[in-house]
Amino acid sequence: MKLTQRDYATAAHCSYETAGRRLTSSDYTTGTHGTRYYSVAQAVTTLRPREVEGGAVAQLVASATTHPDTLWVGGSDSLHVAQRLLNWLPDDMLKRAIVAQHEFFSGVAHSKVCAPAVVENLGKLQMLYLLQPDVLSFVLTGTPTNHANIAPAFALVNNFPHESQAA
Amino acid sequence: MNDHTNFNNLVQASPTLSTRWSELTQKAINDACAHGVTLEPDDVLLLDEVRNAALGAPLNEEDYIAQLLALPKLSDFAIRKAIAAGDETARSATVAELNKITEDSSPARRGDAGARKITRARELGLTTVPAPAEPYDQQERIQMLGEIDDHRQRLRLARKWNLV
Repeated sequence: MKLTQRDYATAAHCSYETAGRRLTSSDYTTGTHGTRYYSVAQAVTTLRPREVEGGAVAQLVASATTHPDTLWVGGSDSLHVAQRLLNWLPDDMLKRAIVAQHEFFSGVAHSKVCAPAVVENLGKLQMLYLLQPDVLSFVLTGTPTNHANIAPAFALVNNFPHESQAA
Repeated sequence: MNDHTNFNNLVQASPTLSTRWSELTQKAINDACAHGVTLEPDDVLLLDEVRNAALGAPLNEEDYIAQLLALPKLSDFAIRKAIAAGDETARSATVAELNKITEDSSPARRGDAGARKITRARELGLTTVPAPAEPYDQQERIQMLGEIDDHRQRLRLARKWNLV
């Protein structure tokens, strides 16, 4: 999920410049006319508690756009993004994040992809799972999503190569 | 020699003969069944002894059994049984028999002959049909998927392999 600096300013009720200042450390992709699209997972962590109470998170999610390819979340480079998001999450969202991670775990366990090659990376995959757009909007706003459908495909697509013992 | 039209005409023309023939056919089929082979009524026509008996001659049990066991279906069964039991003579005899198949076939038909040979060998229990090879098991496939850089390709393959 991506959003622009303008979207951020509107959602957080801050000035355009403030939005820009807060987003400087976030990764972005450049769209048409040079518009920068920032990832929601990084943007929410810059919100102030007052803004969160004012419902800024839901507005951020509502204004965000989703790339058609929703399964791939960027490999091991995205791990620190997920970790920072998890550290930032307020209590109610943290509860949903834990629910999502449990659902992911059992979704993989009950599927055909439950093999050593996936299970050895399950901890990292569980972390990345929070960044999947459907899951992220579940964690941030509570929109229900079918974890059992997403989990196996997500695990395969984002799985890390097997590290062989003989390097 | 192998055309039994006359015999069939005779049998069909007379109610006595056809009753006797059907009884004898049933008996032959039952006897073959005891050896584990299913005979068709047409196979019974190949037994001289049974045909004679249908026409009124007394049935010579010894000859009848010998002829029954010499039928291709039953002799195949006997050979298969001997080979399965580990009879080396039967085995080498069958191999020699099979080796005759390709002797003088033209190059164009060598493939056919080879196919016939292997089919026959399998029928006789000389070789068994190899089990269809499972190229990779699930674990290896999932491991390979992890090594593919393009994540769209990963999903395509996973769908093809029926993993998701």
